[in-house]
Amino acid sequence: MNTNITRELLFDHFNGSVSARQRRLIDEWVKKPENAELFYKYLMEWELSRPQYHVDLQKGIEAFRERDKKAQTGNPETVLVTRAFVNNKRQLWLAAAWVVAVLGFLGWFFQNQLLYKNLSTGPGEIQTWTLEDGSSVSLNANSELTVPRWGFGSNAAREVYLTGEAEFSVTHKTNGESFIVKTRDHVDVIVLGTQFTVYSRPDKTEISLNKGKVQVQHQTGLKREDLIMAPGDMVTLSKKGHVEHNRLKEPAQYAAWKESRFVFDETSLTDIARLLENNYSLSVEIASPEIAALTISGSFKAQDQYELINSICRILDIRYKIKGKKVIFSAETKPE
Amino acid sequence: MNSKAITSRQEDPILSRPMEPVEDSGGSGMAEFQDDEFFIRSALRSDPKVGVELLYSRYYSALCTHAIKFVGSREIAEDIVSDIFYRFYSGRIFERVTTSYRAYLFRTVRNQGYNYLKWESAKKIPMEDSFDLTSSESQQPDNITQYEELYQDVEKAIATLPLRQRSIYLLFHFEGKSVKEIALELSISARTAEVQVYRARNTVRALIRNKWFISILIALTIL
Repeated sequence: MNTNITRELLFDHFNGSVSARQRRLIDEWVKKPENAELFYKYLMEWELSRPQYHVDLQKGIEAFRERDKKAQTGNPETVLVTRAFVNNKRQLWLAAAWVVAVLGFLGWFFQNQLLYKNLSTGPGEIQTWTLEDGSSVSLNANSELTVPRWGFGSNAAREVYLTGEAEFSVTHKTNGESFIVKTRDHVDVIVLGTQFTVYSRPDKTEISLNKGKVQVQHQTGLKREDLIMAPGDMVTLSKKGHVEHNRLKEPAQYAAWKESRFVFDETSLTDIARLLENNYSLSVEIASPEIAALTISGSFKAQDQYELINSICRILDIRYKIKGKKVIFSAETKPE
Repeated sequence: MNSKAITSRQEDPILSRPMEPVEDSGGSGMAEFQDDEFFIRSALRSDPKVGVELLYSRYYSALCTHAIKFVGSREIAEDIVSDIFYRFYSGRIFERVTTSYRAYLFRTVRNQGYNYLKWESAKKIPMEDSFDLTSSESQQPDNITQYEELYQDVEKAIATLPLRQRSIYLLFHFEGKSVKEIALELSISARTAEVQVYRARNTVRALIRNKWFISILIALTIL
């Protein structure tokens, strides 16, 4: 359909003097790319034929050069912030004064928030981030990693703080600069380009090493002790300061959670209950004491807590009940 | 704090709007429009800065006078156009534009003009949020002629203002005069001029909002 859309008709349209039917014809016509081109060509002609005000082109170009110069030297992010949406000079000043005052106060008050950023996951959530130095970190559910906001990887040591469970894949720096994972119970895992997982929850801290080499520093009484781990090693530090250094059967399984896989190796229902509590913020009750010691071995894929609970109960032949955030496990045969 | 931003960069509201696919319709139609920008095209390729300055010389004035029809203020119009040019340059958008630069620039100015009015109609939401709201394709007018309808409504809204208020409004927004200059010119007090500017702006805003953006307001009230 090639209706006679002419330059005159379009000019009339730009002036607001065409009928609704003609407008619809233009809408149809303009769907062809070359017609859209023609539309904008005439629009520009029309604009130039009746300028609304004198535009200072030189000023526009100067502003562009200025902005480009600033972007070359300064932080490009700030350059993109324009005054377009603050349309009153006074408002602008007021806004500027406020920004300065608020930033000053916040900076003083939230030093930590300014200097560090938190990566965190909620119940049942698994997420992977790439840090500024190129290292990547995956957090298991209900975990938090605190990372320096500024100059991570460019200054001395790369230090991060972990609560929960995470897998790290650390990039090696040519200057031999180390990467340190600190936990709340003062265990430091010192790394030089490697892949490993750290588990640090209230019950214990556990490090398993997949590739490379790490050094674990921990507190024993008043002393700091050092321990070197080789690939396939696992170190468990209990709350009471007890240290266990083992070989893993299969190191990769300690990061199975990354693919929503759960690997159990004679894991008791009590331990699984703790996992449910840690990862999904559930509160778990084992109603029948005789089932608490039942164990599971094997690997399961489960997308969420319900799938996991369901599989566990099917394997152990037990029942469960979920009430909001509470899960109750009980023995299969209920005296009714 | 959600830190997804570390891996996925904030999407640029302009960049993220996909260009309409250009069918290769025999070639002759499109080639004509691109030929007419041939010089700018090769300049952009060899030195983007020079190329963008050429684009400025050719399109800046027309884009500004077009933008002002929507936003009703020369300062804002120039800011919007400058932003578009700057993103076009810094984001190397010129490498991806499949239409003529003219079509791209005009279309983007119109989108941003619309976005601005929408944002202004719902001042309660912070700008970034409203940008999100507007960046999706579905939120934009379906038909090209609606953009004309929109700026014509802005013109009509200005035309409804009482004569004196209107001239103060136009002096302030279109001529870019300060309240003091207007007061001097019309021999009224600066305070009066300021109040008139404020009232005029509210009237225009309300008229536009009621016709075009009433749905956002409703959505906001429900929230």
